[in-house]
Amino acid sequence: MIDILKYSLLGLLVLIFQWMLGDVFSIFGVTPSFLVIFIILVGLTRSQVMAIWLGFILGFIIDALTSTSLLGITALALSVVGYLAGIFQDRIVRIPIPVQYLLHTGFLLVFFILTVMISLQNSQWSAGDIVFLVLMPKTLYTLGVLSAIFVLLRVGAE
Amino acid sequence: MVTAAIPISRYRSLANLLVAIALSLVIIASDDNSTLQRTRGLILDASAYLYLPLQWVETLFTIQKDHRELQQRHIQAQIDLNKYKTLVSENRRLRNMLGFKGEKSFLLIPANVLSDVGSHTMNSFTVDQGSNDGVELLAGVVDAQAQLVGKVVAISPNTSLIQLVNDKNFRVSVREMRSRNVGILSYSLKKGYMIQDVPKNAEVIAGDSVVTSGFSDIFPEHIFVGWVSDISPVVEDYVKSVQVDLGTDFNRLEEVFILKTK
Repeated sequence: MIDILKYSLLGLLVLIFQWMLGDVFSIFGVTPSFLVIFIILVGLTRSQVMAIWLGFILGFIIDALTSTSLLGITALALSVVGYLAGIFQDRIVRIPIPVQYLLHTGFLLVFFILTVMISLQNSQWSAGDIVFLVLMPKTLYTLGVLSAIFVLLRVGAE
Repeated sequence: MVTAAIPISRYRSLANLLVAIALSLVIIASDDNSTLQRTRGLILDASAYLYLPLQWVETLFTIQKDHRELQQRHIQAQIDLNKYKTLVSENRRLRNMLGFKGEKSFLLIPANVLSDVGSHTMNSFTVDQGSNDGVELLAGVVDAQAQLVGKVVAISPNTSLIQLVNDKNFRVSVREMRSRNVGILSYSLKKGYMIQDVPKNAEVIAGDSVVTSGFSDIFPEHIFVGWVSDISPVVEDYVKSVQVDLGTDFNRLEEVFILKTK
């Protein structure tokens, strides 16, 4: 119970950080998603169910605060990512590092495909533009931030 | 015992995921639902409190500079206003003589920007005026120079969420001032803001002003949108595309004005 409260509070702080300071990290208009990193972290190290529901609630709140098109899409995407990350809970340390990176990339791609592709469905942009100018930069940038955070957490734990 | 517990826990997670997906789909499908909008309003109102201390500190630092700037602009505006008043009364007289209908008039609701959320796909911010202050859904929003900012897409009693012109799903009917041609302004990743399907023989040159056409219920006509920056070459076609630079500087927006029909 304490764990749930602790991670809910931490999730809210990450959400506020994303909402208020996310743009500080913007490079050429590409902003990383700290929320998805947090959900992946919860899924991999805590509980799959917690990751699903934290993803749903935090996703709904960020949608309510920012979404101009589909309310609920981030909730859906974060729940799915929470579930996927939870499959590898506690097993991730036994997986070779390159495969870990591939898994993280997969989680991020699932999240950004769901949020970016659907939010841009009416934008008249070509699929190629969406993939190469939005989806890939966002995924790679968030993967970079995720790797840095995971390294810091590992060093901190040691 | 342990081997039996693993699949059960896996199905429990799957069941939770399915419930979460079902709830998300219900939320997506019932975007206009009043309970959902009320919940969104509560979240927007709560979030406004986070920005109040920041806004207070920011105001302390900028108030003197703002006051000086406003004084200068006020004097300039007063001179322009006197000029325009003469033109407006002349225009009104001539319109009456020709039997035109009167134009819609708008009230302005001033609002402070509380947050801004920019990403590659969506751009929006929250302001500190809501339905209690008379803000209506889909109301147009302009800045202090009467340049187009966006429209209201969600409201709560005390706050509103504004979708900005630079949101990739934003469309607005605009008029190019030299040729008087009307088109839809939209954003494309490679070329920026474009007015598509402008007739090939329309006389448009870089630097021309682009304003709202007034063909929608959201924005009145003559709100400044930006300048023509480039015209795509016409190759065996009857239309051309006009590239537009937006006038509004979204990075410096601190206060905006929400339009309300009188």
